[in-house]
Amino acid sequence: MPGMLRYAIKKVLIGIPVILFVSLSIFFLMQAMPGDPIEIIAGERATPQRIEELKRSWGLDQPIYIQYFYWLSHVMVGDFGISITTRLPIAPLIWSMLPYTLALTLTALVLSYVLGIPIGVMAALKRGTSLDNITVGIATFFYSMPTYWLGLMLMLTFGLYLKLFPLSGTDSMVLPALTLTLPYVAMSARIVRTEMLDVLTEDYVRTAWAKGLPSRNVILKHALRNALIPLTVMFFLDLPWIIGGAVIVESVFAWPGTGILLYKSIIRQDYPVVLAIVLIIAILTVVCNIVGDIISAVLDPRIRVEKGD
Amino acid sequence: MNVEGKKEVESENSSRLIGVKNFFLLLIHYRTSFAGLIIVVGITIIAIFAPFIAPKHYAEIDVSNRLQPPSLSHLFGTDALGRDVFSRVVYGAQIALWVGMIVVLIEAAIGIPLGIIAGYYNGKIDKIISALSDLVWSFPPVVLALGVVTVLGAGITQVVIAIALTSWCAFTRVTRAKVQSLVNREFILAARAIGESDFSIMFRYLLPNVASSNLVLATLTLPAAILSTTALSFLGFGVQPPTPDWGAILSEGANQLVIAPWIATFPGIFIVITALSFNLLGDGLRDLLDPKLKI
Amino acid sequence: MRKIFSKVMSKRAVTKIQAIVIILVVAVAAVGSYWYYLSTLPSPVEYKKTLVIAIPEESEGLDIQQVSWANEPLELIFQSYMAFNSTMGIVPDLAVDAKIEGNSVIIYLPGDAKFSNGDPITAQVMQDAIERYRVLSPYGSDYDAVIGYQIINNSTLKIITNVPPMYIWLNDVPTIYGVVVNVKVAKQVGDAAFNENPIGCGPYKVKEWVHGSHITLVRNDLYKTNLPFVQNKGPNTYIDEITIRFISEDLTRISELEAGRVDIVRGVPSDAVSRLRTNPNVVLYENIVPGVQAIRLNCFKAPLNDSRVRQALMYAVNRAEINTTLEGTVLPTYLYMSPTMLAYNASLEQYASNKYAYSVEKAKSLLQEAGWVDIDGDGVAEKDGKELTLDMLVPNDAPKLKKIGPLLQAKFAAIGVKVNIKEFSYSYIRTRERAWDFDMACMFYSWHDPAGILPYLLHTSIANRTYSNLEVDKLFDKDWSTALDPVERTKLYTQIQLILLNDSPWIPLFTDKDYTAVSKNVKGLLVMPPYGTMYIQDTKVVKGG
Repeated sequence: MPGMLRYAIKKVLIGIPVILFVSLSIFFLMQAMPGDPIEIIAGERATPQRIEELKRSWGLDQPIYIQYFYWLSHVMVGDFGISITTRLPIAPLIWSMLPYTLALTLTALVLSYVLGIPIGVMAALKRGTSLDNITVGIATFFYSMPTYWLGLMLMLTFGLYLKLFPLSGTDSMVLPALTLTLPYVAMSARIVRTEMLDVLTEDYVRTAWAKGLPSRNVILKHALRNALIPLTVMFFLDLPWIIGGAVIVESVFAWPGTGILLYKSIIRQDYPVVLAIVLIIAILTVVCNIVGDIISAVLDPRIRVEKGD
Repeated sequence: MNVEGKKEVESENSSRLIGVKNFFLLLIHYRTSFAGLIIVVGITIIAIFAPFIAPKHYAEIDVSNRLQPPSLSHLFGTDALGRDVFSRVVYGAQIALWVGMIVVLIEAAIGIPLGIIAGYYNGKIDKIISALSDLVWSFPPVVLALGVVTVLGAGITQVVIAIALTSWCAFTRVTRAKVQSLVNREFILAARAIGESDFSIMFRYLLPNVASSNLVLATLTLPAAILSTTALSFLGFGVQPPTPDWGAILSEGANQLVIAPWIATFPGIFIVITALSFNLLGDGLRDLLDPKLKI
Repeated sequence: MRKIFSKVMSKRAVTKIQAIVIILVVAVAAVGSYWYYLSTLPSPVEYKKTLVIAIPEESEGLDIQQVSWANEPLELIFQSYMAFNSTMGIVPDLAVDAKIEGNSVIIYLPGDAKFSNGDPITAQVMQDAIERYRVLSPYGSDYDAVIGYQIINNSTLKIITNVPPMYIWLNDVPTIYGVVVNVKVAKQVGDAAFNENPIGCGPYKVKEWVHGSHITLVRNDLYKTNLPFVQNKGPNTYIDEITIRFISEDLTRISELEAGRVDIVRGVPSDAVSRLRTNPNVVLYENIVPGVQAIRLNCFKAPLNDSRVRQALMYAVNRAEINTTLEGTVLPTYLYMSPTMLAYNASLEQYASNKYAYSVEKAKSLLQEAGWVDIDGDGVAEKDGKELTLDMLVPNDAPKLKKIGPLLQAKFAAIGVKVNIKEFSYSYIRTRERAWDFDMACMFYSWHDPAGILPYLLHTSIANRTYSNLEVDKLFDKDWSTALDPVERTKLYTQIQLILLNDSPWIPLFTDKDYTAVSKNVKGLLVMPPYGTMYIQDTKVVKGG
């Protein structure tokens, strides 16, 4: 399908200037940030001369646009520069911590759909009964809970009082993943339920449904398939979201991922690290968007017509 | 045209409140969303009358009475500085609702006009706005908010701006979808035909028609805004002490969770109840006004 | 045919299943009884070969010559020439001996001193290490007085200075900042790699560093020490590995100790201290920090340029309340130095606490003298129509200062000063201080030698331009350039502090107490002043229970 390929390529081509734009805005925003990381490296007893020296050695006395181009040219070959606070190269640092974040968030995301879909289907089928209400109620409950509170509660209950799982660290992903999963189970269940209701409440469907058993399965499959389309798309769009949500969870559970690195780097005004992570997330977001668009176009011809050239 | 036609039919269906199906919908969600409504009203009252309900000022320090468990004189106990947690939580309701409302207003003020323009004009403008909206929508809000707050500094105003910038796109998407379904209806075409200006059309016809969907969205976005504010406060980027934002109280209480669990528990409960009630109310409103709405 | 076959098959299948079940039950019973038997036997003392330490902050880097602050991993990787004993005397560690001779420091190493990778530590290596430090370290200026070296023999180095080398003797030789590092390896692999995996001669060496999570160290079998206060002067054969975990959330860190998953916790938060004190499974070590936490005032910015206003603020703070709020984990102070610092004068504390005892009336009357009165009765003093409002910068990453922020705000409000709290990261606050851009800024320091820290905060020429007193400058200069005996030094710093108490450029609040929580399974741990450094040479970790 050459049309598909053209669509995909077009999306990618649009993505590149977007990423550049994002990197530019982040870079300039960083400059406006209060605080000076050189202060931290220099330490308590540094003299003003020492600080000037350090600034020069980091190239931070150059005009901003030169700094930007310098940075950009390095990024294109995969060199994200060096962290100001640790002087360690950033790229290996991020690559070593990213797998932890991805493992955590992907597990949470997959788990939330695996649990959410059956719950949503059940709620849709038993619509109107107390089961539906209770399920939706519990789902909404978790959806309304702040992540850190949930995390703290889980950690205390299962980690400290019941001693079922390790509280923190890399030994067990159970508690942090659970903290991320529960609110998202709610969301995916609600969406599945809504989508399925979309189909199930159509007049022709209701008549067929009322008629008898064999066609019920067909309808169920049809409804489910319809529900899964936006869900699949949402999977990709939710991925960057959940990586953001991981910032808090990683902090509470001492999970060594990029979320905690981002938070700490912001506090320490370690510009290069923050830039690198935000850029990676931005690229990930654009990529996920593109993939999501393509998948939705493949699965749902209606959208192709709408968005067609 | 077929696609548009189908969508038209769907919207017709949803806007008819009469009918057996919708009556049952009302009845079922009556309970949960009504409960949500009651709680929302309750919290609003608490927020408005906070200075009268709270026995003490939220910044009143009394070190000799610190870390007291809940009692008759201190309904929710006291915190590490001897401040009355109940008073702080009550004033916190003011902040939560106020911040939530302003965030939603800003988001709507940005998102709705963009959505109307995108849906009405289609073509290139639509593509740019949609692309921007999609991009910001899928970018992790925590990261974006952190970034904005770091640049602008900490404080309530900055937090409000940061959060508003992360979720205005929901309004754009919803509005755009709605406008697209309305744009080819007869009354719009007629208005065009008699030469009414685009702006006038958008203002007089499209805006009121997207109101109900956006109302639902607003009700569902408010709790998200409250959760985001408290999250930022928890991380230390939000309000400045001694302002009793629920997230800030929770953050202070987190360290004392084992010796004085009431400090973190009560604001947590209030956050959950507030968010939950708005969510339930919003769900009910959605089923009533626009069941096809996808958040 | 198939039907019969399947029937037969199923019968055999049933018997097979029955047989398997019986075998399993017997096996479980056998194993179970054997296990029970084993558990009734008395068990010998078993040692756990790994030690797990939880610390709040991850190290910036592992090369002491590149970082601006040191923590536990560095203390285990490197070994200083000399060390402080419990009475702040200087005793040998890596070195056999060291002494001051006129304008020079001589360090004598044992002839067979080696790095953890086997490379010999010679006088030349010692010299190279100092030169590397001068270039790389933020504190390179420590050695500014050095004018030359003399290599007396292969394991003895003489460092020649142009003034009596008291500064180097007190701030570098006995501390982790003056250690020798393997410069040859550093040159080979480059500074960045050396910062990930340095080579020193401490009791442990780097095995791996998982960023954001932990550092694992393994025993250095070539380790030797001359410390008089440890019994085992070689490698600790009871502990093969030490894992140092970074857990920044206070609650998580303590919970891990209570759950038995870490053996030692550093940086115990004030809320947990009383709880851990009564926990029978935990031993709590307390260390008085050699430093002070205070509010720094911008003495060049109105209205703080009037010393009466600054003194009024001194009277307004109720330090006893601060101590209560922080659960008794601090020592309230009015001084600029802490009891565990060199040249500290205990009687000065008495004088200062009498002079500046908490008094709202005195504070208000001083403000009145300076022209600030609350005319309109709104609780805030005015002068010439302007309200007395100040911004106070509070570090949100220094838990104790952050906690008492609102308390200080309330106390200042009580005397008519409206203080707005602005929370920022500590590094940002230091930036604002350097740029003169602040009214009040909370700060803290931690260093055992006043000459190594106070001038950088109070000397006109060097540090900042928010306070200046030429008399104080002269006294600092005198300490840097002459060799004073401890008694004279104490007199000098008493003089300095008397002037400071009058000028009041800071509002000293308290001296912090550092707490280390140790599981009762850890035996033989030594926690030494002034920094609460852990010495694990004699440590054993008993297993279980």
